[in-house]
Amino acid sequence: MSAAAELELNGVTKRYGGVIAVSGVSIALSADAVTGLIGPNGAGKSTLINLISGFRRPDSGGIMFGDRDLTRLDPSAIARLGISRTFQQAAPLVGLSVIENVMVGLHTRYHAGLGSILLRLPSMRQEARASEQIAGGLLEEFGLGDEADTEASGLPFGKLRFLELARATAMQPQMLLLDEPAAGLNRVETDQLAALIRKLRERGVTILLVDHDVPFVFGLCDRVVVMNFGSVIAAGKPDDVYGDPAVREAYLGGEEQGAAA
Amino acid sequence: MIGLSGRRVEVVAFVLVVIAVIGAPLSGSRLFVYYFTLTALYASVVIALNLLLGLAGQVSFAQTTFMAIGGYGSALMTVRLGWNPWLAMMLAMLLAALAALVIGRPLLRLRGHYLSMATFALALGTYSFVTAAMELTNGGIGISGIPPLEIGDISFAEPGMFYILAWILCGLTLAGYALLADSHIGRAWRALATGQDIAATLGIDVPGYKLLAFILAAVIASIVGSFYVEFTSFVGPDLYDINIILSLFFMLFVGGRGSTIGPVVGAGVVVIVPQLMSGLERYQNLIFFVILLLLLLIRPAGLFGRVRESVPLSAILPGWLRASRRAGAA
Amino acid sequence: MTLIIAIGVATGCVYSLVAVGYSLIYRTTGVVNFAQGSYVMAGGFSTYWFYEIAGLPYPVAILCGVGVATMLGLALWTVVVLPLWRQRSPSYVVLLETIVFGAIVGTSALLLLGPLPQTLPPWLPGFALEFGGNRIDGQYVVVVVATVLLMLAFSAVLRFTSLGRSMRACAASRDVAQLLGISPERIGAIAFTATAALGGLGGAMITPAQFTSADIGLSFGVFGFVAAVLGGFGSLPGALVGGLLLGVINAFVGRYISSSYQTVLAFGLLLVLLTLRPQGLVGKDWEEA
Repeated sequence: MSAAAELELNGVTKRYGGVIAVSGVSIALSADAVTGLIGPNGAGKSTLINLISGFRRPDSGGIMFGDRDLTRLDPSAIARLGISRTFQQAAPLVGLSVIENVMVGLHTRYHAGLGSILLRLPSMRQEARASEQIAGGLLEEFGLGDEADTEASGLPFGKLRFLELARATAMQPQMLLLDEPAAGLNRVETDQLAALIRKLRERGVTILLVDHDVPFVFGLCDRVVVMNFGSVIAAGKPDDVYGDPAVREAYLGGEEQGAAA
Repeated sequence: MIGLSGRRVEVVAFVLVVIAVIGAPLSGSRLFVYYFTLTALYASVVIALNLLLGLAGQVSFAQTTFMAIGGYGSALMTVRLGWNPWLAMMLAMLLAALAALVIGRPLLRLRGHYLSMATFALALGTYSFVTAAMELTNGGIGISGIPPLEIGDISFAEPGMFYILAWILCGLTLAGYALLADSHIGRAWRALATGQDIAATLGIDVPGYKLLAFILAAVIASIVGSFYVEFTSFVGPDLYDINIILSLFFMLFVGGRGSTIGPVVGAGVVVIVPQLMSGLERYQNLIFFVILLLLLLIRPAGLFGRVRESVPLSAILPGWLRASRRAGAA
Repeated sequence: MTLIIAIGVATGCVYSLVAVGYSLIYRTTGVVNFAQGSYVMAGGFSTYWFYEIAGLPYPVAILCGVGVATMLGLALWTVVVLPLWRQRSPSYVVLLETIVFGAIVGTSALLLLGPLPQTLPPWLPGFALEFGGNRIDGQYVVVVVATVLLMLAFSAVLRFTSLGRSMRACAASRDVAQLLGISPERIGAIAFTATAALGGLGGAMITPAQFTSADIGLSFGVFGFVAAVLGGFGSLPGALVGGLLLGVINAFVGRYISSSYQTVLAFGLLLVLLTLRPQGLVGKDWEEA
């Protein structure tokens, strides 16, 4: 795979009414690495993912992906630049089977137009066959091979998370934003997830990983960014961040009530 | 997977439909041929509606608007301007596509109720307009004397020939639906119908795809509109009134949304069954409405529709309730 | 000129009553009830039947007429909307069903009472207003006054009674209301019945000034709906504003252009509103992609 572009946030700020969700955040994500983003509830982590993926627009600051400014783009345009994301709720596409879910992830890789579909041109049929194979392969890789034709919403929760990841990966993204992918997974599943993420990193995908599971994040990430109250309070190698007094303060100084990240 | 091959019941139904379609003209009954022709025409509109609603999840009541563009467009261009009927039909089709493009962009940004209401307004407004615009459309009197379609020596005014034409149209529309439903475009529609945000993050241009479905449905409706008035050589507002608007949905629901052969069977049922109830003409409308009411209450999936509703329970629950369900499942 | 305004304001009042119905039901149950207009027809037309055919005294006939409309509202809720609610039907199916219900009511009226328009005697015989050299039918005044009183009563109920509080809770969040021990289904039944009564009363009031017939249901339903959207769908003061505004606009269009263009204009206005400014003149932002 080609080298992944860097993502740079510069002074990004987002307010909701009177509440400052994200304040002057400047982060740089290095290519081909896994960067973890942690912080107590309400720290602004999910808002940041929403800002990068285009679901929200920042009030100020810039988000640069290589030489493209993402702040003006809508989610599908950002996706087509090669940035994929997962959602906290791990919602499957209801009414589609497991393999169909993944095939939707392959959407950007289809080139057949309306005409070739209606005329059933050989190029279109070939593309369809190839996609089914790719999707099948992805399902095997993510441990969903046996459930290919089952209705996606019927999957147990753990498998839904893997489906979401498989679908987001199908796009062959240069960058992957993972919003709490380990939430609700048991120990075994979390380890499987970590292994899959490592494999993705080896393939050259830049990954931003938001999660609450501290051992998971610290064991997996090359770099960790810590947020609290909308600002970055620490960033660096896992070991360095772990010992940072400001980080300890944020986590030991009382859990945040209420508002989701 | 959607597609005729996917479900045995639909395959059987498809075979039966083919047999019926071939059998009707052979039976020698002019009545059969007439009703089956109507079935083919309406089925085409409903197949297109099925694409828009059943696949892409966009609730549009406005198919009659585009039928009216086709019908009145063809009528005006042939009767008032003396143009060739085929040319008129194609120009009307382009006009319908253009209208769909222009209206569709703002309209399809609306979600839920607002899209239904806006398209309903459009459909009823079309009826009101063609009734009111006397100078243009002759109002309630309608326009007659529309010349039939012809190819060389073959005139499609002849019922047998038109029957073939109508079923060719229906067959092509059905094939188009099945091919699109099975393709990545069909999957993109189904994705945006149930998870618009997810679809967007996978690179699907959601507004663009909605518009594509809308325009395709409009074009088919317009072609049928043109065909219909060529068939009967008459156009009038009643072809696009509330009864027809509701009938289209009746056909769709009887057959089953999201199924492939459903619209054809649904159209057949709605066109033919009332004709079997002779002597009850006065009550026809009432019976029709009551049956529709009961159908949606008791068996909303129709004959071939998928039983699972496309709206999952979890999508209706508020956030906190969803979270506790998640915790329970984990 | 004054006469046109008077007609506009009076019919506008009836539109407001219908619009209030749409908005209240939408806020408390999330349903868009396209059968709203048929209550107006039912109220007027059945009052005619009770008075002219059954021979009841006029006030009794009016009560019975409104009663019929009220029963229809309750029937719609119990037989159609509630089951669909419980099935978690998609909203457009509920919408479609209310349209069909309205069509059933209209068709039944046609079969039972015939296609001819009918009228009723004025409530205050002989009462008329002299205004700017014009003589304005007293019934228009009755309609306006009655509507104002009804609106005030309605607001008072919503603001000051526990029922009103329950309704507002349901409007804010059905699930939270349930937690508070309020039954959304009971509130839904009340909303449907009350709005049907309002519509029916509107029909009984306006008939002496104009006429009633089996097919006015769709027309009032449409105009009432446009009025609701104009004022802001879901907003009760908006319903009043929208209704009056539309009534006057309609009266002028009917007088200076033609009555058939009234509906075209209404639909055009609706389309423009829904695409450009769905929140209407008074209302707040609603769901938009």
